[in-house]
Amino acid sequence: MRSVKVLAVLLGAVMGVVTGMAQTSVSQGSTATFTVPTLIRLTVNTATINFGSLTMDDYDLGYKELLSGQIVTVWSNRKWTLTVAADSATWTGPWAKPASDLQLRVASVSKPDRVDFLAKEYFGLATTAQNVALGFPGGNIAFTMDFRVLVSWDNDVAGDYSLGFTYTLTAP
Amino acid sequence: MWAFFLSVLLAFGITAAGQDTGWLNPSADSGSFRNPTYAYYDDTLWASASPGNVHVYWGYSIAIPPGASVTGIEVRLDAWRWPSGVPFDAFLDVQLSWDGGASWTPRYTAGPLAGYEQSWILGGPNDGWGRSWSASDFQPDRFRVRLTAREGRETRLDWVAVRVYFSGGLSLTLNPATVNLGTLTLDDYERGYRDWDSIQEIKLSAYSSWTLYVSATSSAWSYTGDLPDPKKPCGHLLWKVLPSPTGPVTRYQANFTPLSTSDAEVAAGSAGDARLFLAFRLLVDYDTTLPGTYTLSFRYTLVVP
Repeated sequence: MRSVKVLAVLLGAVMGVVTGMAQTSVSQGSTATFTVPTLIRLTVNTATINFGSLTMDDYDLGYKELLSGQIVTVWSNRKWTLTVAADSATWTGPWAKPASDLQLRVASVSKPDRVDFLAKEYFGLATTAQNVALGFPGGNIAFTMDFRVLVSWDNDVAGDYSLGFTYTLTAP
Repeated sequence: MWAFFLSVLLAFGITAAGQDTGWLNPSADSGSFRNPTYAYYDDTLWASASPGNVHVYWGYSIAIPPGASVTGIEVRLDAWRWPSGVPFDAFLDVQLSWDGGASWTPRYTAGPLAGYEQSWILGGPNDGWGRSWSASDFQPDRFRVRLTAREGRETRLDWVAVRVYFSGGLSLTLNPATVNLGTLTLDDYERGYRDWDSIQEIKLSAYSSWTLYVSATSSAWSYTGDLPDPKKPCGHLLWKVLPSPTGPVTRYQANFTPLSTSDAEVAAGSAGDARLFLAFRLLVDYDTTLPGTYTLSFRYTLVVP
């Protein structure tokens, strides 16, 4: 058997057929091919973070916190970067409350072995992109996000406030 | 006229049972046709001949499997007369030689040729042109096709091809030989694999009991892309034989089996013609399936003890 296969390598290109001492064989080569594009996906479990109505205790504390307010999930088949940026420099509302008064952090991640960097500490939003996490190829990597909105007796008059912000997943 | 009728039949997909070599091109010639090499291929060029011109084509790469019996020979002439408006009949006589041109079969005739290119198929799956043929008759320097132009003004010839039919022997045909698995999606990653049913057909013919093996020619897929080679293992391509293969198949691998560089038995059977359909499964993960293009070569070997 082994000797026949050696012959097949030598002569197969010419005849495709080999006759050994004890057996005859014929071989055909085949090739499989496939293509993988860069594939990424980003989902959020909820698009709106609602802090509800603030209380005097919140003013006294200086902020209101919403733990596990959002789950952001990413899929990427190459190294990736997850960033976040405010859609505008200020909130819409009674006054020009700065976007940086909305802070967020990553509370936990479902697949830590797929992550190289996590923003574990609160940071204020800006209109420029800031890293939330960086990681390796993987799928269904879920980030649980905590949020804080800063409030002060001096600036935050009564009213409704809103701020849009956008997550971006990049796989360069 | 008979030849033309046969060509019409073939054009509608009626083919003979058994196996054939497919249409083969010549690679050598001698004689008095003008631009004779232009008749090597089915293209936009043509050779031309005046009445009485004789030309011989040979160098066909005809491979008859060991143990096979030749059942028939076809010669295809893509030809026409010129000028098309001239109302003279023109013909091409065809003879075959099995000994380098020393001996010739009786002639078959294509014609009267039309004023436009037409495929004439002379002979047939069970037509030996008046003799019995052996595999050695088809050695490239022995098997020859002699054409004689008759009547008309000028005969033009785009292609002179040969197809040989045979039965029995030991042969193995893959359809397709190159399997394009296409483009992966994120759903494939989430599932962990992607399946393709009936992705490859294997036709084989054996004169005795047989065993079919498959093995990868390398332990990893060849990777082309902008990232470091993830060295995707060949075993990430799994294969199995789909149920109900046709022909004398006595056993086959019905469960997905990873491809490896060692021979794995695909199927086994007794003498005769068999047809198998294979399904492939590709394992997909984020570590070894990075963006890029992947190629893996593997080889089927049909063995008769």
